[in-house]
Amino acid sequence: MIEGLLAVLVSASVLWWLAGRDPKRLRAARQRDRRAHAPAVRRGLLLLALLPGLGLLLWVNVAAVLVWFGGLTVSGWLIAELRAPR
Amino acid sequence: MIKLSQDNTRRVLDIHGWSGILLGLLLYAVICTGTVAVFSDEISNWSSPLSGESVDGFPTGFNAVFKRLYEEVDPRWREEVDAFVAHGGRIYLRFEGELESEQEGHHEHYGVEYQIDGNTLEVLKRTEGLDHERAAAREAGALAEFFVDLHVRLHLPNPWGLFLTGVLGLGMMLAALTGFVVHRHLIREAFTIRRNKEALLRARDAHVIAGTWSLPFAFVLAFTGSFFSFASSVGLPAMAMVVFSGDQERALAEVFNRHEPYDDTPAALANVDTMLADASARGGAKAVFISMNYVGRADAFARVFTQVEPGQLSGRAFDYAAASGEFLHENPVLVGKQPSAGNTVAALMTPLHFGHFAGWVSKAVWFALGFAAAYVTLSGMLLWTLRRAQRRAWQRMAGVVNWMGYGLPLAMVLTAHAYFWARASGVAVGSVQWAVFWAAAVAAALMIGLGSQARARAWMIRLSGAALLLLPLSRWLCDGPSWASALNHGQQVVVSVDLALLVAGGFCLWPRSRRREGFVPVAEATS
Repeated sequence: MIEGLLAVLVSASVLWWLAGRDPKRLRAARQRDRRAHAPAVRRGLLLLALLPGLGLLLWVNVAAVLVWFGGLTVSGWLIAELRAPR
Repeated sequence: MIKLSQDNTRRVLDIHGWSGILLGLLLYAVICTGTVAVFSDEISNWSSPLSGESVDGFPTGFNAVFKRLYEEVDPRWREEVDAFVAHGGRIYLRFEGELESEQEGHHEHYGVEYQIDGNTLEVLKRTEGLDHERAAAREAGALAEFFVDLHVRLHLPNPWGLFLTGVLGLGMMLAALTGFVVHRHLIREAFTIRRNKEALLRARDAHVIAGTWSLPFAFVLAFTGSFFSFASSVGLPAMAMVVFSGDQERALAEVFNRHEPYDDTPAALANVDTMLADASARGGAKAVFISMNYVGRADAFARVFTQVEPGQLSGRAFDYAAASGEFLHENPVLVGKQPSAGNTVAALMTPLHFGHFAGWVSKAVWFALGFAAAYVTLSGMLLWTLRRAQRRAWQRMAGVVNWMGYGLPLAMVLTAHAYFWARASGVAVGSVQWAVFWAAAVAAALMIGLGSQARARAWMIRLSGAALLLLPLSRWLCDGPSWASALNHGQQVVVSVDLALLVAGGFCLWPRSRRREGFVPVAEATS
C-alpha cells in the first residue's frame, strides 16, 4: 500500500503549494504583498493534485485509490488548518 | 456552486442546523465510537495479548484439537460449528444447536464455546450457555466490543438500536447534502480559516472547512452505516415477510447461500487443517473463519473465509464438502449463490465503511476520516449554539453539547482503564465498564453544571490527556506485557498502540494559547 501513501504525499505537496497562494486565504490573512495564483494556475495545480489518483486507478488498484482519496481529503483539511493565519 | 435565493438558503440552513442539533448528540457518539472501532482488532490484540508469539490465522494442528473437542460436546449442540481467530491470537471454537425456549414455538441458540491458545493449542476456557452468556465470557475482546456495540446500536436492544443508528446515518447524509448546498463557496474557501477573527467567525470557518474536505467520505460513511443498520433491522425482516412468509431463518439461508441437507449417513470429517490451507492458498491470504454444518454426516459442508488479499477490497469465501474435504466452489463473499451486481455492491459497503482492506494504512486513513466527521459534528453543534448564545435555553444546550463533545472521549478512556483493572481483579468486566462509563458521564455533567462551560471543557480535555497517558501504565500494571516482552514475541501492536496513546495524551495536554472570547453579531458571521 506504499503506492497509495506516496500518492497522498505528492497530492498533499501540490495542495500545500496551491494553498500558499490561494487568493481568498491571502486576503483573509491580510497578506496583500504576496501575489495570488492566477485562476489558470489554480486549475492546473488542482488537476496536478488529482493526477496521482488517476495513476493509481490505471496502474495499481482500487484499494490504493481509496487510500489516496481518503488521505487527500484529510491532508486538505490539515493544510487549511496549518496555513490558517494566527 | 449552487445558486439559491436568500429565502431558500435560509430554509436549507435551517434544515441543516436543526437536523444537526436534533440528531447531532447521538450522531457524535456513534461517530466517536466508530472512529475508535476502526481499530477494534488492534484494541483487542493490544488489550489481551497471549503470552508467546503472536498468531495470525489458524495454526497447523488445529484439526486434532477440533476433533477432540467435537467428541466432547453434547451432540445436540453440533448443528452449527464455527471457528475464528481473534483477540490476541485466541481461536474461538463454537458449537451451537437450538434450545426450545419458554415461549412456545420459539428457539434460542445454545451451545459450547472454547477459547484456545493459538500458540500452544491449549484450551484456555470453556463456556456453555445461550448466545449472550457465551458473548459475556469473551472478556479478551470486551473493551473493543464495548466501543463496537456503542457504535452499532448505542447499547440499545435489537432492533431498536440498529434502527436508531440507521436513522442517525440518514440524518448525517441530510446534514452533508444540505451543508453542500448551503455553503456555496466550498471550493473557493477550501483553505480559508480566519483564525485571526472573532470567536463566531473562527467557529464557522473551522466547521465549514472541515466539512468541505470530509464531505465525500462523510456521505459514504453515513450511507454505508445506514445500510448496515437497516439491512438487518428492516431489510431482512421485510424481505422475509414478503418472500418467505415471515420465515427469517429461511431468508437468511437464501441470502447467505446455506447448503441444504441431503444425506444423513454418518461420515467422519475431513482434515480441517487441509481445508484451511487450501482456502489460504486459493485466497492469497490467511484463513481466519470456518463455518460448518451437518458435521458427522456425509453431507457435511464447510465455508472458509480468508483475509483480504493485498490490493483487494474484500476477503474471499470457499465452500468444501467437509466429509471428503473436496473443494466445491468459491462463494460470493456476502450475499447470493453466484456472482452478481447486487453482491458486488453489497460487498463494497464493507470496505467503504470499515476501511480495513489495506491493513493499518487504510485503517489510519479511516480513523482520520472518522475524526474529521466527529469534529464537523461537534463544531457544527457548538456553532449553532454559539449563534444563539444570548438565549438561556441555548446556553443550556451549549452545556449539553460540551458535555457530550468532551465528556464522551473522557468516559471512553476511563472505560479502558476500568477494563484492565476489572480483569486484573477478577470482577465482571462488562458491568465495571458500564459503571465507569456512566460515572464519568455523570462527573462530566457535574463539571459542566457547576462551573463555567469553558473551564469544564478545558478540564475535560486535560483529564482525557492524563487518562490517555496513564493507559499504557494501567495495561502494564494489570498483567500486560512490557514493551521488551511484547517486541520479543512479535506483538508490535502493544507498543504501537501504547505510543499512539502517549502521543494523543500529549496532544491533549499541550498548552494552547488563550483565544479571544468576544461576541460578534450573527450577521457578521454568516456568509
